[in-house]
Amino acid sequence: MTPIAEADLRLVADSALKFFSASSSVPAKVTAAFLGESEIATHDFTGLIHLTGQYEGRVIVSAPLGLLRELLLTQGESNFSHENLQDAVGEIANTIAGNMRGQFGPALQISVPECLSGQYEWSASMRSRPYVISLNWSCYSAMVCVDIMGTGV
Amino acid sequence: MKILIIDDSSMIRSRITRIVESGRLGDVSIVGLAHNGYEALHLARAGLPDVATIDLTMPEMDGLACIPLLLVGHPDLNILVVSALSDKTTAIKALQLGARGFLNKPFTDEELLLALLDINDTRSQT
Repeated sequence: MTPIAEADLRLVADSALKFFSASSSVPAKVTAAFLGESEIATHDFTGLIHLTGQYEGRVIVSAPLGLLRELLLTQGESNFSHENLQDAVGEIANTIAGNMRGQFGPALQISVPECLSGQYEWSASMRSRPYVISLNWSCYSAMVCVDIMGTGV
Repeated sequence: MKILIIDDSSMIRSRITRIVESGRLGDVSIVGLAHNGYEALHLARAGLPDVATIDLTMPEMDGLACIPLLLVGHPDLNILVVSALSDKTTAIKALQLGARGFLNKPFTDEELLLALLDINDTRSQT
């Protein structure tokens, strides 16, 4: 198993930033990028994508309720149901993971997003210390966590 | 222009709806909002769209499976793929299956409008 390269992590951060700037015209910014602990505290809503093929593991996006409500508002959506909030965080995760295919190619298989709610301790499974990218958008903090390893396929 | 919007994300369906209804595409009506390929086929039969936007990663029936089935029933349908899958192989595959355009997520409002205008122009010329 091989770790992903720094350039690939930058791609993940760039995808997240582009999501917010394209969707809302309000830019986001990366506030920190670091190796997290094996258990990561999540925000209110978490979108999780399973990756298989060339890389295996998970990419998660976790965001607070306030961020997702504001994001939905910018999309013309006024229904702030639990389902819609989960859908929003899932779509961010889907976008970031899907954009990874541009770098890694079609051998990287991406699942449909799994959406979770509630703050909890998320456990990494592939890396003892997953990569964590902290973002700030419209005064809210969010997190992208990359817990993947190359399979050599 | 009658448009069918196909995406499993309600946020994206809302966003595309808002952009399409902004007035910049002229006379437009949305004939349906589908959250997977099966629903898309049903709504296409009922609504007879001219244009469809379609995501690729969807549950139950994904976009690449749906595109040829949509075209069987609606050979003149102009399909714009709107997907986060940004590898060239996937884009080429979608076009080979009959899509008329491919727009990567994340997209700006302007990018979506231009992509829709582009495939609609393509339709007018054929």
